[in-house]
Order: sequence, then structure tokens, then C-alpha cells
Amino acid sequence: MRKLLEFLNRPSTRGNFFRRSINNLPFQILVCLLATGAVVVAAINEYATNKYLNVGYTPDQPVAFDHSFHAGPDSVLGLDCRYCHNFVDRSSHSNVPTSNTCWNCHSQVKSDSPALALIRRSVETGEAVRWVKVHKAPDYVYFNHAVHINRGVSCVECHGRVDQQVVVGQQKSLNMSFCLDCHRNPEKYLRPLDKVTDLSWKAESPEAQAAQGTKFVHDWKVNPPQSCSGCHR
Amino acid sequence: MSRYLTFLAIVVVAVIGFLGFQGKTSKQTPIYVFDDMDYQPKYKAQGENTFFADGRDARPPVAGSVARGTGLEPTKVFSAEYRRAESLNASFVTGKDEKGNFLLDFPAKSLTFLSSGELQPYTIDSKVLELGRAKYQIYCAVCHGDAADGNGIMKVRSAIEGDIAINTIANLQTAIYRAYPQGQIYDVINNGKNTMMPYGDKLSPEERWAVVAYLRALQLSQFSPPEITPASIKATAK
Repeated sequence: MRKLLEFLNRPSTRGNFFRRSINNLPFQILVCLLATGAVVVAAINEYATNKYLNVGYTPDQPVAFDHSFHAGPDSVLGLDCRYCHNFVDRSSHSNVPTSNTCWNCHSQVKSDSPALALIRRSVETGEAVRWVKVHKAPDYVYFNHAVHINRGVSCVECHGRVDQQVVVGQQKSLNMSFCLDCHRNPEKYLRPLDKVTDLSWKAESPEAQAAQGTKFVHDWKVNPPQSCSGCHR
Repeated sequence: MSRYLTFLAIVVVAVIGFLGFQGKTSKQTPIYVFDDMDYQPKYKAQGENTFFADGRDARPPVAGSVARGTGLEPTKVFSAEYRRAESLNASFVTGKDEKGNFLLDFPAKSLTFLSSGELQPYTIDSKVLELGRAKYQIYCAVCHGDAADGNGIMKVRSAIEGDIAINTIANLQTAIYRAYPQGQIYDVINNGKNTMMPYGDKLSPEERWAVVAYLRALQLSQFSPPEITPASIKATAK
């Protein structure tokens, strides 16, 4: 580097019209361009993908339902995910529960709570509770919940530890490379069917996961599509 | 150069200060720079709709509609000869016989067609009991408890909160529920009873019968008649 500067600053044999430091100009321009380029690349990488734009989206819901209290084996009530999202294993759409589902218990427990006012009104009048959708796939993606749940893909793979969230927010990027990570290597993610809604479950070791995952891929004939038309129909 | 690099560093700090890092929680709807066809104006499951008065995409069926099938096989469903299994075997869906009395035993026929066009006989096997166990533990154990003794989490919580559910949750190990005909247990699952809401919307007819079978297994585990109790269990019984 020093030699380069010495070379650029070497005494001129002709008359000098510019200051000698001007000889550094091409080098300085190069450094500034590289620095600007690095900043732009880093900014795009950080901000221009779902990992920034969508992850962390935690809207207020009309009724402050606390998943960490109700759902999952480690919670206070220990409800299974499917008690409320009861069509997840038989429909492409995982349903937000009907108000009647809340009322199964809340007609008996805390039925006068002001926090449940909207649910009470919905049960009485049939008016919809306008829950805010958090996890959105684009409308040209045809994601089927049932086929994933029934083949050992846990809720936690896409939704994260909802059983620990007081207010539900998006935890995974859900972009296309996220889908393909699993579609290319399903054996890393498949789990026993009775553990699908146990969000804290993990195989003892990555090797144990790979061994049982490979077995599940074979036994259940798991062949996740990697072609465009598999999901974009 | 140093002036420009200082300026660049200030810009970087300002952008990070304004936008933060990945994983920042936000209540704002995500921004879509190029939203392409991410949001299409089509009707979606549980979608919102400004056209209809109730604000829903989903339209309720017209009163008196009769289901003919799932719509996955329209040619079959709309042919004149098509018969829905449910219409041939109504007691499997209602838990009652033709006269409206509760079935005393499990239904004789299932809802699955054999290749001959007959309905397959309904049998309780380990697969049915496993299905019943899975569904019981999701939907029933919340109140009735894992052992059907009425000590589910609802009872525990209502004791803490001082709610009335502590008095209303049925202990299914009592003689009155052991004496219920199979069809009546099925009917309670399907339509609810007293303070229990119906669970027919959550369980298919096959799953409801599986839960009935599993409940009988739970009851037998607590009150097993001497003539069917294995000798090994009898020896350890007090």
C-alpha cells in the first residue's frame, strides 16, 4: 500500500498543474465507492427481505387472548392446539376458532369478564370477531395445513413458540427459501405424529432426528414438491 | 474522503436508529414494496368481506340445504344414483334408531362403502380406541379429566377463580353415566347437555363413536366387573 502511494506520489518529470495530493484521487474514489457499496449491500440484506419486513409483526387483537396461558403442555391450562384450531388436521386452512369454542369454557369460567365482551356479543348475535391475521402467505401460494400436520411437520416449524407468546407475532420469515429449506431436507424436521402439537419437543440429538426423520420420509412416502407448481397453482 | 466516510457513517447510524434490526416487534402491517399479486381480491377461508352485511366471505348454507358430498367428485355427487353414506346409515350420525331411541350398542354399519356397494360393518378395534384416546385428550379431558372422573383443568381453575363450573362438570365414572346407552353418550358429544356445549362441529361421526368407545374403556379401567377382570389384576387388587 505504501509503495503504491509512493508510486502515485512519485516526483513528476513534467510541470505540475495539480496539487500532488490529487494523485490519490482515484484511490480515494475507489475506497468511497467500495464503502458505499458495502453499506448498500448490507442494508438490502438486512432490510429488504421478509426477515425484517414481516418477522416481528405483532398486531393488537380485538380480544387479548393469551396463548402462553391457554395453549401447550407447559401452559397453565395445557390445551392442545387443536382444541381451538380444530380443522388444522383436516383442512388446508387452519381455522381461527368460532366464538362458541371460547364459550365452551367461558360460559362457565369468567363469563362476565370485560375482556370477553366481544366474544360474548359474538355468541349472542352471531357477529364476527375481527381477529387480525398475523401469518400471511401470498395469495399465489397454496399452503395446505392438513398435509403438513398429518405428516409430522410441527406447528412450531412455521409459527415458532406460540405457546410462549402473550401476543402472537410472526417469528419465522416464511419466505420461499424458508419453505424450500424443509422441502429439500424434510428428514431434518419431521417428528412423531403425537408430538406435532408439542411445541417444546425436540429429538435427543441431530443424529437421532436425522435417523427418525429418514425413517418417516420413507415410511410415510414423504416427497415434498420442489417444482414451482407444487405450491404456485 | 474522510468527510465522505464520516457522512456515510452518520447515514448508517441514522438508518439503524430509524429502522432498527431484524426481529424488531411492530404493530404496523408489514410493508410490501412490490406486492405483485400477494393480495388478490378473492374469497378466502374466514376472509373479511365488505359486500355482505355480516362482513364474512363465508356464506351460510340456505336453510334446508342437504349436504350431498364434499364437491371433490362432482360427477359422482350429482349423478342420480349417488347415495351419501350418511343417508343410508342415519343412526351412525344421530346415535338414534328409526324410532328416535338411543342406540343401545355401537352402530352395526360404518360410513365406508365396500366395493360391493354395501356399507362396511363397524367394529371397535385398537385403531378406533387410539383415535378415541387422541380426541378425548384434546377435547374432553379439559373438563372431564384424563381418567373421566371430572377432575380436568376446568375444575381446578374454577376452584381457583370461584366459578360455577366446579359444580357442573360431570364425573363420568359414576353409575348414571356408566348406565347410559352408547347412543346417548354419542348424543351428548354431538349436541351437548346442560352446561356442556355441543362438540359435533369438532368431531366427525367416526371420531365421536371412537370417543364413546374410549370412554367405555376408561370406565372399565375403574369399574371392571369381576367376570372380565384378568386374574393378574385381581391378585393385586385390594
